[in-house]
Amino acid sequence: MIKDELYQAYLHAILNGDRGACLNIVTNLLENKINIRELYTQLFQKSMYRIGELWEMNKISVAREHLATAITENMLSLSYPHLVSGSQSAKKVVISCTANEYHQIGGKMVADILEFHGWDAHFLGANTPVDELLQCIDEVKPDLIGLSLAIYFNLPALETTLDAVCSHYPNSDILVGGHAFICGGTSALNKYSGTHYLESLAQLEKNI
Amino acid sequence: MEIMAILKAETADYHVKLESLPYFCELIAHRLPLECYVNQLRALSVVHSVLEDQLATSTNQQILSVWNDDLRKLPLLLEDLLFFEPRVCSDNIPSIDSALSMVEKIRLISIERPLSLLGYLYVMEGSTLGNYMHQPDITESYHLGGLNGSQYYAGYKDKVRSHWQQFADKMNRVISTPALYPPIIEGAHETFIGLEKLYRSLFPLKKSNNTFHVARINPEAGNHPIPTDKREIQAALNASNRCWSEYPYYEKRYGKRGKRFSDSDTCWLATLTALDQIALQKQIDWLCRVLAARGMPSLLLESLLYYLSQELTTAVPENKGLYQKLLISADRLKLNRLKKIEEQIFRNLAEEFDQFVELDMRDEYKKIGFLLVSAVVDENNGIPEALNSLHKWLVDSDRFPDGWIAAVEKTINKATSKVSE
Repeated sequence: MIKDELYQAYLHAILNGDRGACLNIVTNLLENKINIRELYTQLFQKSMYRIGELWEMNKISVAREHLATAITENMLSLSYPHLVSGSQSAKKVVISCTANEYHQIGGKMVADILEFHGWDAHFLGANTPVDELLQCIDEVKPDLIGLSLAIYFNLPALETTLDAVCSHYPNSDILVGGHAFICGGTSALNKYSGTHYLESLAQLEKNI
Repeated sequence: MEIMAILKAETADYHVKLESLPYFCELIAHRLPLECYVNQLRALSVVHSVLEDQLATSTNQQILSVWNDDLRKLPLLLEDLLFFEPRVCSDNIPSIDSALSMVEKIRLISIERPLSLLGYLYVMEGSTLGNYMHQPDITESYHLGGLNGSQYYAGYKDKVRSHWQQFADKMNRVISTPALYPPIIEGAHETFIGLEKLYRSLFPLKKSNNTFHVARINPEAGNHPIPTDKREIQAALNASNRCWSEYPYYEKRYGKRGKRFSDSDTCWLATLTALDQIALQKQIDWLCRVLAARGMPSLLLESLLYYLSQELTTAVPENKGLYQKLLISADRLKLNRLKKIEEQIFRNLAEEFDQFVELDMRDEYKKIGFLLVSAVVDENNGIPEALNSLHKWLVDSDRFPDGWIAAVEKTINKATSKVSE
């Protein structure tokens, strides 16, 4: 559990673009063997949601929001060496953001958590064209496919992706998640068999 | 060694490399397709819009000393793009993506190492020298008359050398300590790397569908969807124009840049008709909060949605059913606005404002009373900053006389007590 005091210090640092202070906080937590999911949800996710709110309220600029995103991506990379848990499940997953979706932190977190649990995770990153995703699925032959959607207006692109994946690989297990669904709207996924909505990283860990 | 001499030495190789790219070879040989040239203007408008905004709003002392509004190139680019607008040139997504990568960096450095912005400015200002040389190539390649379509390349025209000298002198004077050099040099390197990628994607152009990118509407809009049907784009622009005519406050406060954002936002709203009503409403509610916190009460979005629905239905009548969703959404915003205050009371309060102010101000800022009452309701409906963001502009004593400010306060107080009843 990350204490509120520490979270506030991190939020203050990230809002000021202070990479050094963020680095110190995260390094300390990792050295003290923080649970990766707690680190991701209680520090990275929580701070980025708050930053989104602050932008919405016109309290911070786009530039500051982008800097916070860049710092969070740095912090995720910092966590990477700590993801090796030793256990190997021999399962494979391909995680991707849809075409036109440039927010990749959520998808990266899901890939990292699965990696932590011994999965072989292939993260394709932001704005992945459908044909590249299909090619990767063809090569990797994953046990699970994850699609991340941060902005709801990209829903049509997600549906195009799901149409393609479901028609090429009809027996696939597909997880869909992301900030886009924070206020609901998951009914759009009902028409795709084998597709499930992933509510949180905690739910992911519970169902692995 | 002075900063300008160092920058010249540091970037000499990049210059040679950039000039030898196929884009420029084709340009000099007068074989460059018009699509490549127009897409160059589009991509550079993305870079210039963000760079110039960051420079103009920077608080860094050295930047403030070097930058002035005469250095802006965006107006020239927009003029050139307007000239070519009647010719249909599809958007080249890779070059816009390259430009967006550059502006992403520009935004980050503006906070982390703002002096690097001067490295970007150095390269873009330096390009005016080469551009001026190439301007006749543009005119000849596309059979243009005068400077039509080549204002950006013409730049400072025959004053280009003296402008460059002035810029160089200012840079050398302001950046006088070698300790200040590294971030500027780094910025110049980044600019050339970004430009190389951008120009490589401009020739040869990859075949693509006739896609419209939001950068053609607003170079600063980033990467959100807009309609793929040109009729819908035009309808959205018409709706935005109508709304701006109805509420002169828009132009007074947000100017041309604000109009571009209004245009791109309206195009985005048109794409929402592909969603179901619930999903569409969520997006509208989100935009409503974002705009209200920036001084645009929900009444403005409500009006825009009515106009947009009408314009889209006129432009593409076969999709009337889809556009109805915008009407439903506008009605919902209206319902929300009037749930705490009766429509007649809302109107009376809004119109009463006009009685308090001078006649000329009333005409110049028509419907301000409506916006004030709407902002009070928005705030009461839980939108943070809705009232404050409008209020602070309308009570600025540099802009408005005492009588006006008193009228603003009076209307706000009356509306506040009415919605609290």
